[in-house]
Amino acid sequence: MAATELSFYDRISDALAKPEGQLAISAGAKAKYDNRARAMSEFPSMEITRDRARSIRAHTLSQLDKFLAEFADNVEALGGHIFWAKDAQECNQYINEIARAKDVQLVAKAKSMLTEEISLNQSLETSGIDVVETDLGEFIVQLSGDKPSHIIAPILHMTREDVGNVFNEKLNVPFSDDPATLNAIARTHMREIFLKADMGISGVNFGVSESGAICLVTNEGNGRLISTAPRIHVAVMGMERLVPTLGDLSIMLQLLARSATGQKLTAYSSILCGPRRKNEHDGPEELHIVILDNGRSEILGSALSEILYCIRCGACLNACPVFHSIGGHAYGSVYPGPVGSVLSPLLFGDPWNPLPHASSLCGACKEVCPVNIDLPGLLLESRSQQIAKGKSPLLMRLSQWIYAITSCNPILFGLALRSGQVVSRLLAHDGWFTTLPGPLQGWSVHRDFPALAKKSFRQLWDKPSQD
Amino acid sequence: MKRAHFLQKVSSAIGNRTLPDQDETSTRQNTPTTADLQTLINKFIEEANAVKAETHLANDDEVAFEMVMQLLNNQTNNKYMSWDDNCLPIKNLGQRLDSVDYLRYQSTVPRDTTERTRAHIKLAEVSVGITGCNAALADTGSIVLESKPGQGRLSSLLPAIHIALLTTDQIYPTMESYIKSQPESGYNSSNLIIVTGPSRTADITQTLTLGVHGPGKLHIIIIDK
Amino acid sequence: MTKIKKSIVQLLVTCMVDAIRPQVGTAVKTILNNNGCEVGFPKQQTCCGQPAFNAGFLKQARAMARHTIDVFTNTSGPVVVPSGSCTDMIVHHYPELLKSDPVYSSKAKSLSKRTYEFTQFLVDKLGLTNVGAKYNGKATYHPCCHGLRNLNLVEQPSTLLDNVEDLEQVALPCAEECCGFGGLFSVRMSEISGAMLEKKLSNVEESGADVLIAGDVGCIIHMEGSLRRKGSNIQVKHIAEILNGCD
Repeated sequence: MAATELSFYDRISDALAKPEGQLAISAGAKAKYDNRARAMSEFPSMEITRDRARSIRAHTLSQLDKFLAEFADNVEALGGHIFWAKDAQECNQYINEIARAKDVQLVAKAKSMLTEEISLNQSLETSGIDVVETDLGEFIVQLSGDKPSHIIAPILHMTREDVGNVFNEKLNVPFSDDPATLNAIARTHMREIFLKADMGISGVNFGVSESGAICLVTNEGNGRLISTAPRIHVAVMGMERLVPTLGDLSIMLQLLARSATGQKLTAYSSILCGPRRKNEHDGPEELHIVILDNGRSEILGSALSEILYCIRCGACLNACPVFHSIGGHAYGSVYPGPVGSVLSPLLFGDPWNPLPHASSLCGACKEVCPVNIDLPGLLLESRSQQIAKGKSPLLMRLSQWIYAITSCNPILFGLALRSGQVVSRLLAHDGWFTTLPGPLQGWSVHRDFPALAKKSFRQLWDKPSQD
Repeated sequence: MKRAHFLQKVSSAIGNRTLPDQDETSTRQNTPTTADLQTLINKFIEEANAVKAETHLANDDEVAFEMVMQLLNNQTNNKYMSWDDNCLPIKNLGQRLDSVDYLRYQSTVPRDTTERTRAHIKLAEVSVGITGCNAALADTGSIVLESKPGQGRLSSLLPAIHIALLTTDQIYPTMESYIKSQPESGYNSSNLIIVTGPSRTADITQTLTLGVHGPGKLHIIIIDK
Repeated sequence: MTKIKKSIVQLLVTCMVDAIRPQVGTAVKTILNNNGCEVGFPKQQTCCGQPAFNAGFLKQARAMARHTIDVFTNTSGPVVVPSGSCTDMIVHHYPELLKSDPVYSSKAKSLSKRTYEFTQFLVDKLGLTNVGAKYNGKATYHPCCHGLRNLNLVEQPSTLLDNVEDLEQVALPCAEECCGFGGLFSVRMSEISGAMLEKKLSNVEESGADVLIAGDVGCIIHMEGSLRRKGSNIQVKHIAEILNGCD
């Protein structure tokens, strides 16, 4: 993924300057947050299931090599093809090669953040292949040349008027802002794509190693269509997305649906075991599963490996007050929100280093995570790794040292307090500073800062009578 | 990249950092109480209706057949596609429908590329798909379909209306209990599908709309024999 | 008022209270004294190191953690802190930060075990539900994040506030949403912090309260600083100030 020209700070300013977009985002995220809360509260033994899910993820990752090998063997035994891709380039090249060899003209795609991560669409389009996103939200994103702003709800940032305008302009249909009408237009338009596509491309929600199955969940049914109608189905799977057994899958599916949208189950959970078999009515003739590393093995070996537990439900985005304020686009990554703030610097490098700092560490994300990932802990870990590598401004390092030296020496600390009191007496008005100097002015842009008390607590302790 | 090389990278990453292996705790034990059949049926109906599937209770094959006829009668055209007769719980359903002038479309899609697209386009004319079920899950209101010979995927996917025929003995309390009693279901079929209500989206401003790409109507006829 | 046997507690007042809002420390001391506790204040105490820790400066955070541990290791009795955030730092992060330190890992654990947030101490350790406070006002309570999520401070502050005489309480919409303080976050990501603050304050206004109560001085000055700039009449108080009955 390429860094955008704007810095993170510029993107934040841009986002905050668009109140309608922000309103749509925070209302949408809030609705999803409430739906999740309701669905979870109705879930018997929710905490036990959550612990169980976490332990399944931990267990899988602790023996991921074994489970991957078992998964691949089973896929091949079912007549599917496995391709092991080190990075985006290897993955995209492989899919391009199949497309060329099989004379693929039209690709129907189900929503997949992983394929966004590796810019697969652009790669195929460069080879002259038509790629159509079939998830309604993702289709609108594609039509308008936009980017998804949420991993589950790609057009969370758009109002219904926005969508109406996109359809009106790009599909030459009369303007309507009625969701049902817009949906009907999309259904008709997309029908032909499904029927004619030569290749369906999807991500993988979960792979099941004991059977070699992959599971796709969609509410719209596009995941089923692209894995049924086209003669070739290509599924791109992040290497961490395995569960050992079908029983484990059933736990994950329930948590995923409840966490993502508040449903008990997604409308369609499609568990695919190899390509079309003998005497079957339909299904793809070929199934290719690309297992992608793209930096994940490095994460697996690092102190941030817990982020690989993530099942991409988006609940942490919906709970995050920072996400509510700035929306998904400001993060500049396919993975926004708390999970994206941990993942993006790991997957895409230094330009994303400010992301982990964009958190007040309020912990709302951890509270809702279906596999109980310690997101605030990982954000802290990510910050400290940056500091350990010297990736922080000199002024920051200097001030942290001065602050630490002062705080480790009570005499210096007392002196600092007294000098603060002198400065307060001289410069504060009516007990408050209205502007702060240098790097501290970020504070005073939004609020006043209190003057130091005339007598500190330690001074009052000595002479309480002066209170 | 070679498989061995890929897996080698993964193993050394795991070795680098001993990850906690927390499995085998088997903490989860929400084993459903063995509810009586009527409770199961009621629960299934309640949950299926909650996800906007329409349920119909039939005491026997004849009543079920009448219901299918009625649902077909409401359509503008007489075309339908379905699973093979021997995979449906109503005896000779296809034959009987043919005899009253309903037109069953051939649902087997050719393997050849051009023929395949042509078959798809023809099947798109069909307004109703009829299938059986392999199981149903009461606590989520879901039906479970296996794709195998005689049981195509498109019948429950392409038409705007999906009629699913379910017998009461197929209802399990939960997904866990179903998997426990049918562990082979995860291998036996090239596509095990768990359907929970009709196709839906809330992508546009969180407004629920039905029938995006899959059927917008799901009728489940529950046959209590 | 319940009198229990005279016991000694140590006050970790926090650097913010010490420098900016000493009246919170005084209130804590008074309430503890009134409830049978003798209060010690080890004067070598400075800052717990959380700002360094949250910014990722672990070396500095460790140094401050060791200093704080040294200061309190030489004292006896429970350590009481009028801040959920600093309590969380000591209770949860000190043991983690120093887990491979041969000298300090066990000391960190034992300090962690005897450290309590102020309301937690009153309710869970002293068994109090009513401290005999009186406060005339219409109040709403903002649960600060670290106390709420990491220490589960829900019942304790609400029980104590429910029993304050004359205090009318009104609900704060979206109470559990962060106010946007986050320490250095409020300076480094000031635009986001400012947007979160705006949202919080509009909820506070919607509540109709004339006094906003919270348990962390960091969040308090953040919200108060903005209310002041807007010229609002809403007061912001630390829960200890309310419980001390200072009208």
